[in-house]
Amino acid sequence: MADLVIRPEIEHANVDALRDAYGKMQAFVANDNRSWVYWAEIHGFNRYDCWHHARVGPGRGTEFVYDLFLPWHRAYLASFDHVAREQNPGAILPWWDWTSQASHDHGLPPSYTDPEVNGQPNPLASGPTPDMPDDPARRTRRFPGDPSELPSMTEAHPELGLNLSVNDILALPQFADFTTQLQNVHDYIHSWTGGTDANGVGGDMGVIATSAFDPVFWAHHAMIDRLWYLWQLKWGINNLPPDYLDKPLAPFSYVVRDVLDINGLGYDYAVTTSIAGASPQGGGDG
Amino acid sequence: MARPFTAPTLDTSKLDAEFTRADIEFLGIDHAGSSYEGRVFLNNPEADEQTPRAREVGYAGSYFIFGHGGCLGDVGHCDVKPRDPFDPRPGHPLTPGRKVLIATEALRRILPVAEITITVVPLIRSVGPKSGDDENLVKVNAIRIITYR
Repeated sequence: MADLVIRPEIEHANVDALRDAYGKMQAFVANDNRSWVYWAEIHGFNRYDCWHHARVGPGRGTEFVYDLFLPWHRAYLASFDHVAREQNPGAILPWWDWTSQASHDHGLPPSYTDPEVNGQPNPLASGPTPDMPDDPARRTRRFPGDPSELPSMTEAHPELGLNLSVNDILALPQFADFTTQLQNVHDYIHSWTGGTDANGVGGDMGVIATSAFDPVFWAHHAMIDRLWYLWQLKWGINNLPPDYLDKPLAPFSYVVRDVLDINGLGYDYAVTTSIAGASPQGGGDG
Repeated sequence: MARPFTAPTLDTSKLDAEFTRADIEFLGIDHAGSSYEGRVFLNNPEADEQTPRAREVGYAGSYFIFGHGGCLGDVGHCDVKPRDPFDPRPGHPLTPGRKVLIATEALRRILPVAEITITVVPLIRSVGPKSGDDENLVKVNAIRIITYR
């Protein structure tokens, strides 16, 4: 059996491998099923297969609410990650911890903001978009907010509109409650990253149609997926309404039950570990 | 500029005021256009973009909408039509959504009270290539307050 791939925190990612893999995907013609545009279009323009916002409508009884936001994006990221690692085996999807001190100091990770690397566009800073109505093909753009306005793991910030900290959200025991509140922070980060410039031009991360063309989309969603994983460790891997289990996650060949166990999908998340070692045999360094 | 939205006044006389948690639930919320922050005010129908996010003026919290970014398809592409029960496709991506604002402290400040008026002040955070009707950004089918012991 193949080893699990360990998704790293973005500060520990193999940046060279990510740039190599994403650069290759961005260079493929759009209709190649390995291309950047092909994968981003699954989420937004022009396919919109993604799941966001619990859907409300008539159904059994008087109404239904389904929210496949978390399982759908897990299937999406797992599939994308395989394509990226085919281009470079070191290009393991990292997570961007927007609650970290580094994020609160600098905002977006420097590896994703340097506009050029070796005189070429940095494939982590922007990605190609296709021709869209009234918006010809171009590179993605961002107008991020102030780093001090990123969410906190431990503190609520009602002055930013965030009544719950991330830990408050992780403490919600019901899946429906958890996914609704986590999605709210997810929505906040999309707008924080995309933003709008002084002329009213929107950043691509800010709306569903264009967000996945921005390379940081994938690291943001790895963070969301990791938070779901942490919640699962606390409240149960299979903690989900039973009628979700066989819902298909189109266009991927998964149903919801297939994506509940991330080890079954071939990956895990690294933990930040600090070790102070000493050898009782005198072989240590102290 | 997006206009504030004030819902019909809610009769809250029968709400259980002995709660440990209180939610404001938005059902059938539209997310087709720009991304925005919806600042939710209680009993302050005059609230606008300049109104501070402060409890003293009825601020209960915000919800955030990651918007679709407008319609980039042809005529009718973004019209939400109910699916036939035998239609194998997932629901339309623009099927109206649901947002829940956990507003325990804000509701604790004013309950018990006979009625509450909820006003949403939208602030556009990001626009898409064709975001459309930003003036009437807040569209919602129903709002309710739920308290839990």
